[in-house]
Amino acid sequence: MNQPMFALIDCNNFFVSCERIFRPDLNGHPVVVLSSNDGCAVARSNEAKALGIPMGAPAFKYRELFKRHQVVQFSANFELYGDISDRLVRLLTGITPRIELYSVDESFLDLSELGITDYRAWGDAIRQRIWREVGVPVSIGIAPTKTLAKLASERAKKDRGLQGVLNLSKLPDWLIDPQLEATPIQDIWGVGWRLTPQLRAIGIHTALDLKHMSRSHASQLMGVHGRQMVCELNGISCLPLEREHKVRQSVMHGRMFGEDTSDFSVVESAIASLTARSTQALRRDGLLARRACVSLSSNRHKPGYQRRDLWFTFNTPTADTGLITAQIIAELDKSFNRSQQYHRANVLLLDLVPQDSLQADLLGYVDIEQDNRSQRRLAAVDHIAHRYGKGRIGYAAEKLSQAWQPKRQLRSPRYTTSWDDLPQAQLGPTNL
Amino acid sequence: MTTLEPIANAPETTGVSIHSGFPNPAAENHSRKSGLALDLNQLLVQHPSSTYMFRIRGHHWADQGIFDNDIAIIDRALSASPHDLVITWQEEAFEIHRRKDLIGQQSTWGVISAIIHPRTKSAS
Repeated sequence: MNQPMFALIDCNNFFVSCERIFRPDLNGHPVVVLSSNDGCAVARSNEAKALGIPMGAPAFKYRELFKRHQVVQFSANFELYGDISDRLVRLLTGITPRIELYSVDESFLDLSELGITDYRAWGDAIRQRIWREVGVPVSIGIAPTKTLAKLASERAKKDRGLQGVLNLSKLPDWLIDPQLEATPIQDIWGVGWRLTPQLRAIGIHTALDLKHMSRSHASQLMGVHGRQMVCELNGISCLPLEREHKVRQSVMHGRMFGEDTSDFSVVESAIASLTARSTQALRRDGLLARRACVSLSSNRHKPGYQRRDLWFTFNTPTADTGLITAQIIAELDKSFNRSQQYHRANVLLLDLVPQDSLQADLLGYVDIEQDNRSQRRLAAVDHIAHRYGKGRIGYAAEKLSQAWQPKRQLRSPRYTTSWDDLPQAQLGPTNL
Repeated sequence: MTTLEPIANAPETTGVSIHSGFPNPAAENHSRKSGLALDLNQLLVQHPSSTYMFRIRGHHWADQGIFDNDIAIIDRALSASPHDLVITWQEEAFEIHRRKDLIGQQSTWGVISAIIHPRTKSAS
């Protein structure tokens, strides 16, 4: 077996970079992406970071600063970000199928079988290819362990001199150690807010300090996890690529109401919409739910914060929008408190089973005839939704009130996911 | 540029395919989602991760067979030959040019690999 070798490919300021694909004029300008509900900064360009805008900054609090420095604001456009993320994964999967999708903008690749001789050159080439073909900048860290690869990609992002790629493989310690020394302890993968003060208390402030910690001491203080971190920083791979396709355990959709409400029709409409989206996601993945939970809560930042959970169990696992919506609304109607101001609704579907396993489920009661009928109807609903766009067809309750929909006036067009939102290109002057 | 005469001459086919033929990449495993055994993606999209669609605006290229409201398929993985059509960013907007008409270092956003010209209202 070859020596383990990993790359971490990490998108820089991912949401901002997605917006810039279709707005090249924003390169070099401060840009923030705000969460669609509460208007807090969820992504910042380097220029915005340099202005001192912190992660999570509420837009209303920074209005003056935004204005003074002409900071461009976007509401999150998750359709776009999801699509760009899919493109990246597809490109990387073409390089090697041995890939771990770590988050929406980070993937580990296992390079050990690729026969690469010059890792630095390989990293440069991949980075340029992603920039050219997909249109987003990435940082790449390459190392014999995942922990070091992640550390290297962070260094590649922060140190401009590295040009976006840091290779820590096949190097002597005296070349690796300065990078570890430049990495504060809280930036190491696996060191959370809980471990940071403990490590600082015993004089461990950088990744280099942790590398030199004795393994037995690390075990004592942090258990197996700590021992593994120390090994990984020393170039001994303990964490393999996690490739098992994670079977979905649950589906959740939640939204804040545009403004707090005690109007049953507004809440009902929101719940119906959220249920429709959740069940659509189930059907797309060929799954059925055994249980559901609906939560309604008041504003947690206001006095008297309250939250109510309603649980449902289905005799037969189902992904039927109508059936689930009807049960939920009926129950909600019975217990709805009209003197309460509601702020947020969540719909969670869980205990998921593959649709194919349904007929084989001898223990559960299955009405196959009814099930087939509802599946045909749902397939038709999904087909219409797919063909004409989401929201063209839905259950009546979904439409009762649109007041709950968040305000997203700063959202960019859905350039890559909606025919109505395609970017436009003017024909230039003809020159025959 | 690839002109797609057969499609332009068959408005009915165009109408159906354009609306359902380019699904979200996440739903890729349903290869028959379009309902057609012939998948237009297969014909028109060589590199899904680098392919983007644009709506063409402007009337003055009609003599070259390119019309307002056409859909341009851009493949950013291709490198442009002098006669290829390319998309560039000019100050405030995307523009379409022949590569050879661009001056020097002007960077291109992507190369047009095909143009879809709808022939009926329902196909646009």
